[in-house]
Amino acid sequence: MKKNILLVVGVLFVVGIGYGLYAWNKPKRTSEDEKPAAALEAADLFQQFSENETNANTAYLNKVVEVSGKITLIDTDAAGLEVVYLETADMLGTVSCTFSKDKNSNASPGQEIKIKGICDGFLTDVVLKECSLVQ
Amino acid sequence: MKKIIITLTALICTASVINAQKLFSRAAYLGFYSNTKMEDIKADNNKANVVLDVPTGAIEISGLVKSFEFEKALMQEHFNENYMESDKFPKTTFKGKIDNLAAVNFTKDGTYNSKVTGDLTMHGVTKKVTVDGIFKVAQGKVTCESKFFVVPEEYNITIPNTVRDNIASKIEITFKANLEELKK
Repeated sequence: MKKNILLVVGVLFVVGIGYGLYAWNKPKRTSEDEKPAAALEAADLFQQFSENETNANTAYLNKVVEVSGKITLIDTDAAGLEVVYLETADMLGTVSCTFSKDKNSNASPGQEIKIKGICDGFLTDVVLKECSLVQ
Repeated sequence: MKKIIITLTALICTASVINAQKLFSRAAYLGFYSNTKMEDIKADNNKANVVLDVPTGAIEISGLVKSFEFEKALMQEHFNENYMESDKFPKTTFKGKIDNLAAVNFTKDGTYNSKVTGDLTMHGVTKKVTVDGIFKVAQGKVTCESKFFVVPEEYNITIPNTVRDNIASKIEITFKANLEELKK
């Protein structure tokens, strides 16, 4: 009886440590292996955010969104990640797509592109992160 | 000849700043740093926006809470879900004004210390704060930076007792931006 209790405690302990290690080292979520929750034109996504940010947040925040559009600019951020800006109908606003580490678009400004990424929200741009190339 | 071109280029660049009514960045930096004996926690956000209205000294900074990148995915999850509740409050904003605008000359190279006072909103709570800011003008380019501290509890952020010793009572916030002319 005593032996059994010890065994159970021992197993629980090992499982606990194992789970702790797993949680601690859990890899970052990226868009690559996730199916997009929505697929639309970059300009359409931007318009939805600029018309009603609260509704758009409910619809897209934290979800993987696939956008297609024309590249206006490609930049590298301070962390060394590639940022691709997609054209919208707005003068200033874009859909900004920051790629995952070691990933890039292999594209150039002016090209049409399809990208998916996790939606962080809306500032001047609609912000997508952990992006990967769809086509 | 080369010198003339360089001088001319410098003049044109300087001139563009002189004429600029609004300076802007969509890739400003916001840093989060918590230092305790137990552990150091750091996060970076390279996607903050800032708009500076040169004539009035009005400055607006906004950042998305979900754009803070932590070293550990688990920390990032806790930051978003338990503390900042970023689904409910996706944005952090600062809307303020340079107090000593007359002392900052955006058309002349130099380093200008300033005080900026305004409303800091995070986690749905708005507080009036005054922070130290440094504006640097060099070769027609303006950069600005600031470092200040926030107390999580003042913004209704509850930190459970079990981890209270792991998170600093005052979180250091760093802001840095390279501003460009906002063309409309």
